[in-house]
Parts: sequence; C-alpha cells; structure tokens
Amino acid sequence: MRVDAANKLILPLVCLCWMMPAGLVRAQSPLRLGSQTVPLGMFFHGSTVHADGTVPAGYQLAVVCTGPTGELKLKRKERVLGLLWLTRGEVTFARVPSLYIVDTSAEMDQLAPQSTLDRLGVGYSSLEADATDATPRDRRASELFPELVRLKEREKLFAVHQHGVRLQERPTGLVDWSADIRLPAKLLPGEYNVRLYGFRAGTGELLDSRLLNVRQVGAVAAIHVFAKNRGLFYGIGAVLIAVAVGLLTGVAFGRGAKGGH
Amino acid sequence: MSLWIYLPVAGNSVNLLVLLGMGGLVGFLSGLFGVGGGFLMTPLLIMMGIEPTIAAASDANQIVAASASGTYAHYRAGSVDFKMGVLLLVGGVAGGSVGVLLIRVLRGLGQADLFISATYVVMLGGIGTYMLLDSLKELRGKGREYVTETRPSVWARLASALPWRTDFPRSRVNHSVLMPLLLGILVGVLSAIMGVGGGFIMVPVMVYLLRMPMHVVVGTSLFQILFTCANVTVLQAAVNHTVDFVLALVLLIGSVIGAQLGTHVNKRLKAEQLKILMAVIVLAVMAKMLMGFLITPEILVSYAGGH
Repeated sequence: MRVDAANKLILPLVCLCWMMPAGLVRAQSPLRLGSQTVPLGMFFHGSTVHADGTVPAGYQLAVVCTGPTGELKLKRKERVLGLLWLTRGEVTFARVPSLYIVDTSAEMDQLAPQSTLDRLGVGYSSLEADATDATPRDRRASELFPELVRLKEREKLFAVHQHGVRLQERPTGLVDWSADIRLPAKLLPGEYNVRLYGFRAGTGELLDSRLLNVRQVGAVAAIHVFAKNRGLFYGIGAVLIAVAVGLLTGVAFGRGAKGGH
Repeated sequence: MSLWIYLPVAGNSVNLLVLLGMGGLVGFLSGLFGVGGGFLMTPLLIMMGIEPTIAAASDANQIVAASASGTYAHYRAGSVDFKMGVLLLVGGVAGGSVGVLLIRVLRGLGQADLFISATYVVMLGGIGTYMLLDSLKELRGKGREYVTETRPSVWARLASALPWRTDFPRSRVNHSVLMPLLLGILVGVLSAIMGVGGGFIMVPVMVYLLRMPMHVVVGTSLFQILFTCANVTVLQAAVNHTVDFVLALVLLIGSVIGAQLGTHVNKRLKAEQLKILMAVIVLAVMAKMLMGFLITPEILVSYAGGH
C-alpha cells in the first residue's frame, strides 16, 4: 500500500520535471560537468572536461579539481661537503592530492584574504597544512613543500589558471560561468572531486561540488587488473613474450641475412 | 591513429615514435657492446615522466627481449661461451644478494648514497679510462700480448695459482672455475650497489681479467643479462607490481631490431674499435653523472626508485 502511495506521488513529479523547459532546470544548477566520467583508454592523451553553471550575480568564482589524496615519499637532495648534490634520504608528505587544478575568474589575491582561501582549500598554500602533517612530524616537509609544488607543476599535475573561469552576466541578476578543466596525460584512475567556490566581499563559500570518475577501460583496464591481481603470472607472461619476440626477430633477421647473401 | 599510447601500470601517456626510437637506440648499443642499456634507458624514461620504479622494472622486461635477440644472433655466429656465462651468472646472483645486504647496512648508517655515488664515478671513470688508453695503445701497434708474455702480471700469477682449472674452448682460455665465480660475485656486488644490470662492468671484466676475445665477450654478456633481467622482471611484477608490459612491448619492438643491427655492426668492427667506442660511452655516462652531482638541481626533490 505504501509503495503504491509513493508511486502515485513520484510519477507526477517526474512527468512535471520532464515537461519543464530544459533551460529552466539547468538554470538552477551552480555546477554542471560536461562529462561525469573520463575514460582512460589505450590512446588517452590528456582530456578537457567542460564545466559550467549559473550563480547569483556578484560572485567571483574558483573551480578546484582534486584527485585522490595519499601519502607521498620523495627523495631529497642536499649539498654534501659544500660541493656535491647527493640524495640524502627521504621526505614524507602526509596528504597530497594526486591532481590539483584551480581555475579562477580573477587574480587569486583578489578573491579573498589568504586565510579564507586556505580554509576553503583554494590555492597551493592551502595544501601545505595537510601535506606537512605527517606522524612523526618531518620538519623538512615544510622547507621542501615549494619543491613538491614545482615537481607536480612540471608534470602538469598541479596548475593554477587565473582567469580560467569565464563569466557572462544575465539581465535577471544571474551570471553564467564556464571553464575548461585541463586534465594531463599523466592521470591515475580514481574518484576526482570538482568544487565550485564563490567569493564576494572578502568572504567565500562552497557553492556546489561534483564527482568526476576517472577510470581505465578496455585493454588498459584488463592489463592493469591482471598486473595487480596476478603479479607472478603477469611477470612470467611478460618474460615469455619478450623472449619469444626476441627469438623470432633473431630468426627473421637470420633468414634475411642468409637470403641477402 | 593516435601516436600516443596510455600505459596501464605507469598511468601516463607517451609518444609511440619516441618510445620506438629510444628502444632502437638502446637495442643497438646492446647488440654492439653486450650491455643491457639500463643505465641509459631508465633515466630517459624518467625524463619522459615515468615513475622511476616502473621505468626500471619495465626496462628490465624489454632488455629480456633485446638480450634474447642478441644472444640468438651471437649463438648463430658461434660467439656465446655458455660454460663461462653460467659460472658468471651463478657468481652474479650470489654477489647481488651480498650487495643488497651491504646497501641495507650503509643506509642504516646514512652513508649509502655517498657510497653509491663514489662507486659510480670511480668505477666508470676507472674502467672507461683504462679501456680507452689500452685500446689506443693496441691501435698504435704496442700490443698488450707482448708485455704480458714476457713478464706475467700479479693478476696473471694470482689467477694461475687457483685450483680446479678447466678449458673454456669457445673463449680459447684456461682458467680455474673459481675465477668466473669470484668475478661474478664482484660484479654482482657492484651491480646491486649501483642499481644497474652490470653489463658495462662485466664486459671489461671478461676482456681484461678473463682474457676472452671481444666478440665472445659480447655474446656471453648478453646471455647472462637475459637471465638477470628475466629474474628482475618476474620479481618486480610479483612483489611490487611495477612492470608496465605495454611500455616494455613498445620498447622491445624497437630494441630487438636495434639489437640485430648492433650485432651486425659488431661483426664488422675491430675489437679495438669496439673497446674505444665502449670506453667513450662509459666515460660520457660518468661525466654526465659527475655533472649531476656538481650542478645545483632544478628541483630538490624527486620520486624514489630507479637506477
């Protein structure tokens, strides 16, 4: 009986939404993604995810895309004997996102005070507290945090694009915005997060967020799963194929050489 | 068709033509000199954005193909000394285990990297300089054989004092069985310390200490590298899951062709010319490493692993 009653309510609501003009439904959403999924196929070479939405007028915006977060151990180099640059152990960063891409509608320092940006997680400096919070504390992590950012920037895994968000005011007191989130070629599978922040009068707030599913597909997924779950067989198979290719090439070249003579 | 390919384990996209070219170049050096080429390939892969642990493990996988191809070509030419190769391999495996333990002790003392760096520069500089000078002397007609025949060196006297002598017909030498075993251990220790396959240490050892002919040295070295790298590939795949077979496959397609060309050129060059070329490459690698130690790095942190 209860199920029937619920069905009677839901069905008209769904029909009502279906009959509404698409523009009216879309206008209510502060953040929309052109695609909820990024497939990592054999020929993947970076991707762009279009993001757009509609917000009340008066906001400056920041779109932050972050990858799965985890501990990161890096080798650190130090000068030894005042002459040689050598690796001197490791530095541990407690929580670092695998990807961190920020697009803003204005210069970062015009959005809000630094303390506000740090609290919301907008900009590199907002990552420092989490990154340097290892247990036991690694004092070198704070010193080397700028080096971590430079390393990730070189791989295009960290990026800040000021004015990467385009704004277009409507006469109705609303603003349409859009941005293209550029995902690099070096991209790991996982759940990514896209968050939209609004800033006005020196304050900021989270307006909306969406999940972006980056996943391997087809042969890439099959090989990855085989490598992770059946490592020994995968290794033996890799060696056997390598030996076979090597020997077959040897035979082919050997025959070619004979023919040539 | 896209020229870019996404690597399932490395999680990165790379250019197919660049990978094929790199494989071809390193395979050529492998066939020419009997070296695995890991000391060249792994840094190149890291420069392309592949994580060091995956670069080193996948490189070992592609070396299996190049060395199988090269070994077969040398076997057909009758220039593989299997007896010597097996003894060096047994010693190398034992020495590798000792080297890994030694590095663990040094890491505990905080001196491992200084020790590794010093070993690299001394070994590469010493081997390269000796090979270069010796080959130039031979080219000028002052044969080493003349000197050694009149007054045996300390090494020759020490080697002749060892028991269990046996013939190695393919290499046309007579040594104690202990010689290749002990030298295999030495190279194994150094390979483990330096984190490389050891081909460029093993080749000079076979030429100068085992007195093997250069053409047999190259084939025998490749035979040994085949087993060393097969072992590394299986272990890395099973324990660390760091072998990217797609990466290895593209590299090995280039490298097996390069290895055949290298073997072809190897047969056309004189032993002295080969030694000079090898010496120049070893010295160039040493110079590059030395520069890396002296020049302030662009970024003071890097990913762990690799050679």
